[in-house]
Amino acid sequence: MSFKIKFLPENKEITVDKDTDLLTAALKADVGIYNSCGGKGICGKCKLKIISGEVNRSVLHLSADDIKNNYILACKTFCETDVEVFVPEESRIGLAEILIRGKKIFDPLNIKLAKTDVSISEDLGIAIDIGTTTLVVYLLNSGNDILCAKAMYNPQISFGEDVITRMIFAEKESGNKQLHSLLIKGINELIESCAKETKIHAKNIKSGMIAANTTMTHTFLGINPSYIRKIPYTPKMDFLPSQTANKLGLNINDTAIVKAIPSVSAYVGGDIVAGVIACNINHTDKPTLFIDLGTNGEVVFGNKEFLVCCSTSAGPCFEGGGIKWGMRAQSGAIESFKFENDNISYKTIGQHKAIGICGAGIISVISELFIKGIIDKSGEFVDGSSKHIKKGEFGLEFFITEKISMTSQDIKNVINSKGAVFSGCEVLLKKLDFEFLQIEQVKIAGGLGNALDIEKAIILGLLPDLPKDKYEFVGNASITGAKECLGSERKLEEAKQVARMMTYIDLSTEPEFMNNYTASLFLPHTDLNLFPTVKNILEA
Amino acid sequence: MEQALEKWQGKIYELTIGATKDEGGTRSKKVKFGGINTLPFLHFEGIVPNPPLIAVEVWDTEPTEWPDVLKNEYKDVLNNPMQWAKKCEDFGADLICLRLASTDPDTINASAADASKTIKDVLSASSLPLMIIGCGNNEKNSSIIMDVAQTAKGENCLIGMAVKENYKTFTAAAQAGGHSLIAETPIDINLEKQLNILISDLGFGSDRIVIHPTTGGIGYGFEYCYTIIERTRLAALASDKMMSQPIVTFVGQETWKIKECKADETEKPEWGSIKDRGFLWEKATASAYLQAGSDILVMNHPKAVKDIKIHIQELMKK
Amino acid sequence: MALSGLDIYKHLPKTNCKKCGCATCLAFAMALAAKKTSLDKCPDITEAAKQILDSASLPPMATITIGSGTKKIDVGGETVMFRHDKTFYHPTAIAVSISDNETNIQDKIEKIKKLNFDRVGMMVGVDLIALKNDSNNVNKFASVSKELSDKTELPLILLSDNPQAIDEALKNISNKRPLIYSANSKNYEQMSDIAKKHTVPLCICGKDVEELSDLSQKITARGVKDIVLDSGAREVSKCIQDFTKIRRLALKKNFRALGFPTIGFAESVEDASAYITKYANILVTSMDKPEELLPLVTLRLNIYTDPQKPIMMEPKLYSIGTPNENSPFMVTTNFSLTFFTVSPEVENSKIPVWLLVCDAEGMSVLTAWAADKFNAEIIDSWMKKTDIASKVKHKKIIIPGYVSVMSGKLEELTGWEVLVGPKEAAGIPKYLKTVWK
Repeated sequence: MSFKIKFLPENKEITVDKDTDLLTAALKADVGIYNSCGGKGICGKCKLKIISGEVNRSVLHLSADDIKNNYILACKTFCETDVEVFVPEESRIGLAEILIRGKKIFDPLNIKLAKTDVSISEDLGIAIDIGTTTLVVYLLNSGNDILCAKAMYNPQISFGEDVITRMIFAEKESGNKQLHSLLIKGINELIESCAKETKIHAKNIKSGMIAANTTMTHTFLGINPSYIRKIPYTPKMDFLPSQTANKLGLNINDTAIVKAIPSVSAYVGGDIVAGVIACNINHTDKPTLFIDLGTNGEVVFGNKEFLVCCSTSAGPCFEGGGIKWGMRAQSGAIESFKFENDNISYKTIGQHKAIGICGAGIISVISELFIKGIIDKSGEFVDGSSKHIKKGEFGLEFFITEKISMTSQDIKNVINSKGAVFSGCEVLLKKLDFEFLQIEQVKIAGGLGNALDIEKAIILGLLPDLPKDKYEFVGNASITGAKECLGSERKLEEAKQVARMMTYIDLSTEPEFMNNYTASLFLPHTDLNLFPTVKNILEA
Repeated sequence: MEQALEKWQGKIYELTIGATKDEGGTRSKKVKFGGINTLPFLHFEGIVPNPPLIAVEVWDTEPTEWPDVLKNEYKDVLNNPMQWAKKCEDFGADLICLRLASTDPDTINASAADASKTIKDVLSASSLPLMIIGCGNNEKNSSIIMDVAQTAKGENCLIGMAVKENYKTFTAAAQAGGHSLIAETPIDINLEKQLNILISDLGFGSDRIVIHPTTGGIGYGFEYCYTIIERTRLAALASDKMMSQPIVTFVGQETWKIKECKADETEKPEWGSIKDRGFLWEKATASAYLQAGSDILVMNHPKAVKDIKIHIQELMKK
Repeated sequence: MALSGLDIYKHLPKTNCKKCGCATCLAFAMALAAKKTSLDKCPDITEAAKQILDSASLPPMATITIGSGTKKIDVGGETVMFRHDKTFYHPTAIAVSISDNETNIQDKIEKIKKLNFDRVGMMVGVDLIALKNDSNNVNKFASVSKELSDKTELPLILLSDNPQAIDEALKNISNKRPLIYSANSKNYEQMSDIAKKHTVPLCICGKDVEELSDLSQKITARGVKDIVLDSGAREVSKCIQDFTKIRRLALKKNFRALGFPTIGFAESVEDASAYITKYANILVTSMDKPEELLPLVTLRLNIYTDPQKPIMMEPKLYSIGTPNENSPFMVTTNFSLTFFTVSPEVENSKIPVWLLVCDAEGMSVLTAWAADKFNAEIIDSWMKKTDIASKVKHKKIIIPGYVSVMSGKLEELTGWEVLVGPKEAAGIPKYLKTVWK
């Protein structure tokens, strides 16, 4: 038996058999639905509303209100008749233009676009950043100026939020093929959108540069990434993966060569190498800490003499993943938060109505509640400390708006993530007998939002307690690096050099890591002496 | 010749358990422990003001799991906590560790009132300072601890175990009853410190906490606990106030449950006499924990207690 | 002084050629600092750099070999005060002492041979026999030492402050390289000459640490290299303090005269335990009952376990209690702590169980799963290797709660019904009592 499903508001239709769940159906119908567990009924994010028709659903993750209002979880729901479903705003994966702030990394908000009067025959290029969560494309003219920049969610998100879930998916029959083609399709959409906006011919794009983590580089090139997890994996350092556009399926000039910035290891990829290039760490004498607050949470420490790096598996929570009301830094995301005498005030991106909380907002909320005594050092709500704390289905929640809350579980997740990043930094430094105070500059990359307040991140114990003027938020350093490498053979050569010299530290085999990690699962840290300014605030 | 002295900045809190009549209790004496400002027994570089103490376990019900070799030592008193406590006092215990095992919901499920009665009995039977610990069930422990602490109010007991899940209740109980508190964490130096911080953030004096970092028997995870204790001590000597609490280890408990102290000669002829094996094992464990830095040893076998007391006296000689 | 990774890196060629097996020169430098590789692996190191790095890596405490043949034993060579700083390398060698007045040497030897125990698939026990010259008779000492040397492979310690007795005994057995004990302020010249003549290690006994270091310098000056130290203390409190002083001066002050292993004497389990934890490299005792030695060798094993490397259990099918064909079948990894958490809980349940310990390279359940070392295929292969199918008739397998995700695959592979057990070991008794029928 088969049924027709109509997805609103996009009005996309598809016919499926009775054994196909709505998430799979949506995927087939090209409707992007957010979910972080790969359709296993774990994350509870793929909420849809049934408008008409009968379905067989489970009530997992659904509140009484949800059930009354006909909400369902797409991955656990099957049709019994033809149905019409509505995809609510918060479940939608769409084109997001927010994240594009790479440009000259010191001025992340303003991307200086070149004039778009491109001559009809001019050779163009594209730089592509393939993040686990986000895709970003820059269309570049022959002078390597940005003509146009577009971003979207990585459509592979439908198969799971982190690289491990995707590697496992790639083990399935044709899993790798699906990952590859979905990714290419997404990139093609971005290219098309750039071409349309700048009125150029995509066929004039004759070169491309990819910066991506190792898993993404694999799926982009169509190589199965599943073995990355399995064996001690060391990519060849001189290896510069490249392929022609038509083999990859990219809708640019067929003969265009698309290169990928080489990786360091299984869990530190070309995106991080690109970040090092973009921040010029390979040219400075200053001991520099580079932290990419993305899904993998990579950390680099070093200067032109030496470079060490690690991947902290921070998880997606600074990009809004794994958080009940978490979201990307998009319009409507709460990006900063204040709490005074049990009164709440907050700001959203674009001053829109609040629909969720982005990474910067998450950091702001938790550190503010901690400082004001609403959350204790172990991350638990102090019972009775605020009228905004209410008992929810899974423990206490702090309500920021009537609807949007921060749950106990959210806080735990954030503490785990910040702990992973901080202890990763600690291990790298200790490995080379450095103290935090010897760090001369810190570069923070990632898409958690421009409003990132360094002081709040320090209060949380996410970043080392260093003077604010040592910090710089560099936004998307990965694509900046890709752009530079596309524009200059010398930069590309440097990237190869960096990939070759960078020493990967596998945290899972570092004896001290677990100890540092559990020490950091506290606010701000078990060793308060590492955070003197926070100590002062707490004792004041 | 060059000196091998370390310049330690920190010092372990000195703690007193028990209260005499003048202080509102009924104990004949108090015990003091902690206060050391160097590693265990290094008289040449620091002050070791108090010898480590031995607490001996008294159960409120017969310990069915104990091997006969151990039960035989207490055979007349196993069902009588009062006599049991008296016996321990007679053979040299520094304090009594009363274990409210019968409150376990999986066994007798004795009530808070039952527990209170046992405590009163033991307090009347022995004049030694008291350590009181619950059963293996955290939830049950939290539900009776208020009554327990009230019953022994004024006696300045050491009560436990406060764990991550119930420390708020335990802290409140200890605060209200004027007792000191054992904070227990699972073999992790950070969790240990975190729990101490959380307890003192509730307004409880950090100088009234005793750390139980989990005890492992020799051959059964001993090395993890040994190292955690050493590291705790080093942190304390580097003046980390949240790690400067005295440390208790449950030496007997971890000795008498392992195969090496239970299997008889027919099963394991190569291991030697079952009669002596257990108490020798208990002594080896106690001695090694003393060297790690344990301030209170909770023990079982009278002979092991006597020998270790002498051993401690020897170690206290400069 | 130990150099840091970055210090070493400065002297390396920085070519990142990978010929040493490391991905980068810095990785190689860090491995060198952790003593996980050796400098000769670098083909391009300059002679000047080699000299600097070699001299910096001189060990602060010498390693001394006692005995010859298969049972010879290394002592000393320690680099840290606390095991968590790195690890302790050479377990305290335990010597059981015999008097040369002993009438039945053969019996005594047999008794000592039995002081050897199976612990987690590893044999641990007494390492040395110490012969005491109680008779004060030169010839008797020599003949008994010859007898011991003939009848046992265990290396010997010859205890006599009479140089003549030692010299006489060594005439027959110097090729066995026994440790001779001891040189003191009166006899050290003769003893040094004997030790040199027979090329055997020499133990020095001072009346305190100061005299000991003084003697050590004199004896070293006479050309003796293999030295063992005894401060002369016999009270437990004094011994612990002297051992600590000697170790600190050697390791932290790089004081060469005391940079040798130590020896201690204990006549009770509690004193012996104290010395094993606090810095005796050799322990001599007259205790010779299994119940006395078993806790000591087990404690020693614990103290000398590398804290940075999990000890692994032998992967195999363990029976806990006396399981039969209806007993539950559980599976876990070969991380020792995992095993030692799981097995007592199973015992507590009083239900006999087949416990399959799979080879997961010594990782705990979750870590092993993440690294793909504990998956359905591996469990399946261990089930086949241990032939569990012939031992139970129920075809049910209980897996740890943390790895419930592998249930489907495991059922598919084995055809057995997969039951998901509790996540924490503490839940096992309850689980077995309620869920298993």
